[in-house]
Amino acid sequence: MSTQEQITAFRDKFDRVKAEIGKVIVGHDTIVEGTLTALLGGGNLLLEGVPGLGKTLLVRTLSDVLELSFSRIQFTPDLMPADILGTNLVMETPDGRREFQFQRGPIFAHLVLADEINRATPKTQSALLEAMQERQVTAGGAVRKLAEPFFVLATQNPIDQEGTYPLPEAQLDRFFFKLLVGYPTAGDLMEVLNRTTEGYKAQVGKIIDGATLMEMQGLVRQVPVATHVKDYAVRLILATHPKSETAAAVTNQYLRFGSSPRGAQTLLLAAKVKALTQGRFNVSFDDITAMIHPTLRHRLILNFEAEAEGITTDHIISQILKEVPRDAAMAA
Amino acid sequence: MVNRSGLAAKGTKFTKELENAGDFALAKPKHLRHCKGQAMSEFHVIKETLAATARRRRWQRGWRGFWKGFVIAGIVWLVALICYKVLPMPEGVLFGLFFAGWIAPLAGFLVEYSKQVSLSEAARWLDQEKQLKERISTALEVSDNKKDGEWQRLLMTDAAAHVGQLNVAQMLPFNLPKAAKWSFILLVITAGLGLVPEYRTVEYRQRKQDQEVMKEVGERVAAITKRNMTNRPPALENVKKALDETVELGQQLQKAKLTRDEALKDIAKMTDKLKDEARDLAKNPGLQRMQQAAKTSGQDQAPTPEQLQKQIDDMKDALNDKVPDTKELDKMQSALEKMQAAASDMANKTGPEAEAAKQAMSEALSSLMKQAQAAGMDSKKLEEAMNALKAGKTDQVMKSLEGAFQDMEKMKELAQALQNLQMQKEQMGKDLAEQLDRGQIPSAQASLQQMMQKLQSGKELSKEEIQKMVDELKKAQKPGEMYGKAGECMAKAASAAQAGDKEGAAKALAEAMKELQQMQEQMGDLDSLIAALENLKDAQQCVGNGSCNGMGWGMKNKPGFCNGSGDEMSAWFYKEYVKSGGGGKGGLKAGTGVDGSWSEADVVEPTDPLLTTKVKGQITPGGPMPSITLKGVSIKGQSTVAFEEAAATAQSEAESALTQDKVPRAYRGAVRDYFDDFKKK
Repeated sequence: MSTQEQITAFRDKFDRVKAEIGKVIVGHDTIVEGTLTALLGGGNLLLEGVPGLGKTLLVRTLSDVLELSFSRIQFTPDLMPADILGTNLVMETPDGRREFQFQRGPIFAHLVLADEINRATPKTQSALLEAMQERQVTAGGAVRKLAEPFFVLATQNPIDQEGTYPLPEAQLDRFFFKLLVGYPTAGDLMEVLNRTTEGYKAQVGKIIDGATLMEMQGLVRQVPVATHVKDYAVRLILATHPKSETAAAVTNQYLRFGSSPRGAQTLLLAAKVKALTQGRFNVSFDDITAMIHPTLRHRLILNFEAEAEGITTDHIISQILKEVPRDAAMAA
Repeated sequence: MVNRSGLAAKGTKFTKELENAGDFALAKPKHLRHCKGQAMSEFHVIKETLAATARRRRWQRGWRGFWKGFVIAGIVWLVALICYKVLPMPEGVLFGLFFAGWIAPLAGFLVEYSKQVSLSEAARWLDQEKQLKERISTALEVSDNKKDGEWQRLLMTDAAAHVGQLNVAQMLPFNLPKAAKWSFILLVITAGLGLVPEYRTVEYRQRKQDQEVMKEVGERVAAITKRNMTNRPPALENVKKALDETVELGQQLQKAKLTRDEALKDIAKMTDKLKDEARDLAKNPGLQRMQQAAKTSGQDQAPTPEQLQKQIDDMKDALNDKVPDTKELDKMQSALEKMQAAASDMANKTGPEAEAAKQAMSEALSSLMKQAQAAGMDSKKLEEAMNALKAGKTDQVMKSLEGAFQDMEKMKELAQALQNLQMQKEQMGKDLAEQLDRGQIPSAQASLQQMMQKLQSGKELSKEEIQKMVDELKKAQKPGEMYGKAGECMAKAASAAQAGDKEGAAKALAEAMKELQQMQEQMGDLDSLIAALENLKDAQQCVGNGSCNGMGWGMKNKPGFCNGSGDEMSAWFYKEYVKSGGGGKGGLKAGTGVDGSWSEADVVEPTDPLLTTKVKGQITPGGPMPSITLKGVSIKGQSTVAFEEAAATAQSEAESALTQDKVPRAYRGAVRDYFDDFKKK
């Protein structure tokens, strides 16, 4: 298949997946697109929203649309790492001998839903670290590769913080996107009511299998990016580094830590996905700016002043976008 | 950091490759040679569009740069004009800035136009302007990438599709930028400000006026002194040096770099120097005599005794060798006037009265004819009158009588002129001694010349003739001592002549003449110094008063002015400088000459009331009034108006001038007092 055909197929599949999810999920187009972008970029996703907004349903629907294995882990304070990764159990062999046998945990799936991830203890949360980045787990002294493709789709509730454990920065950085799930509009809510209270049963089909998804991920990485566009992405990331020469004014005022290089990688990958979904063969400045909020909002660490003033990372990112010129040479 | 220069370098390299090749196929980069013709064509379209955009943007930048420069120029002009309006800035600076301001638009254009616009830059600009989502810039960049064959093609096609729809000229029109509006506003403000009068302090205006005056004064001093030096080159080195320094002073004043006080100081210094030189020269009694002689004669070049004698002879011939007595002529004229009156009355008389009157007039006429014939006059007109009387033609009588009166008038004038010439000849001196004593150098030279000719003629001179010559020379020895070595030379000449050494005598006489010539030249130097002093005096007044208006400088410096002709200048000089300047007893001695010679009395109290005088007083209460020189016109000759009448007329004119505000307020009191005093006397 030629690149042109691959690109066409990419867009087609993307639209179809979106349409299939749309059969179940009302509204939340941005969230759906963000979710798909994260998957196509090969990253994990953190969905944040108050209960009842359809976060879990979205992931479940996604698992239905994708022909991938799916497992759900409900994070609770007493959840142990072994409950996620698996454990060695003493098993009796047919010949009567007893031996340790590794019992795989729910992590061994293509699509893992970590529901209410912030309710588990940091120890348990950190069990995901290796899986999310290296696509492998180490349990009982043995390293076990996870299935490809592998995605962790986590949800968390911003309210009801009692008894929760905020995710550590290292873990947050491993999420490709953090999407904020907001309330539905009046129209969307009406549609939700229609669908859920009148015996409506949506049937979604499998659109993409694992191999296709991998191919699509490969295609994303081929999208060309002009140097000045990359430069823009770099300058945006550098602008988040407080107390540096490149820092934006707002950064110095409200940030304790800025984005890691992983943030820059993510930003560019997400922009590439965006370009392809827009039917373009190159990444534009607009793609970068469109993807920067979900990419960086969980990677920026606010300082006390920002916390006290109720400044969000989204606000800071918007400010940085205003301060950093798109084309440095043209601006000069 | 991303290496942006890498992209730029690649783009430039590729662009150069394309631009250097006339054939596009040859310019096809290696990595694109595998591409099909369509892709190449698309790339060509992109490249052409980008090149056109780059060119257009460069011109547009230049255009905007021009207007930005114009704004800068406008600001410069405005600021310069404000400064000029408020501060005493030289006009040259203002004009300089005006012309310099024009450099800004030109520089603005050149600076902006000189900035190259690369294809990459043009591509990025196009992407930004037309919201092309970086299609063009990415396509241009990947065109240089060997790996992305398929992607390259896709990008080229996509970019070419978008580029094909663009109209570069429409996108980059040459409209007037914002800067043009600001330029216009600045120009309007500047033009408006141009109409506002400049603010200048009183001190500045005064200083400026002083500079103008100094410039004018310097110009005049230098020009007049130079002219005088050219007309009469100085003989003495000291005088030449002093006059050169005067010219230099004039040139220095012309530069108008001195302050008023400095200029006055310099002029005063130079005046002192010239005075010293003049005093030194004036100490010479010979020069004094010459000066006095020139004053008396009133002529620039006195005639020689021969010339004078010839004039006298000619005049005698005209009078038929009969010199009429002017008193006799006056009497005859008086009688003629009476006759004219009688003839006029006679026309109104008739009968016996008329006959009696006719008889009386006939007798008077015949008496007058006799008197006229006795005085050597032509009595033709009187005879005509007699005949007309006999014929009873009263009108003809009147006419003939008038003609006779005119004849008498002419005769009287000739007689008067003859008397003057004879007097002049007498003043010139009858021999060499007298000529020298009276300062008649040309006459003395002529006398010496005659002697020399006699001695050198080769004709044998009689003893009497030689003795006469020797006596004349001996007599002239003493007065000749006033003229350098002239006296000594004359003594030598007398001795040689007596000894029969004609050659030696002639040689000594030639030396005496030479001495006299040198004295003449020194006289010229003195005149030059006097002229220069007068110049400086006027210059001092101009600078001191801050104006040269009404100074009459030009009038006084006509050629021939201050040439020692005995006018007011000479009197002024000897009054103001020679007399007062340490000459004292050593300067002019009282009663050293005859009639017209100088004396203390002459110097101290000039007889001419119109001579320069200094009036001191106060213009404003509390402040000193500078010395003001008041001058009148020196009128020569005898007045025929009675003194009382002239005084009354002058007083009346003065009163009229006072009432008509023609006299400056400061001088009104002085004028009034003067005439009041005058009346009392």
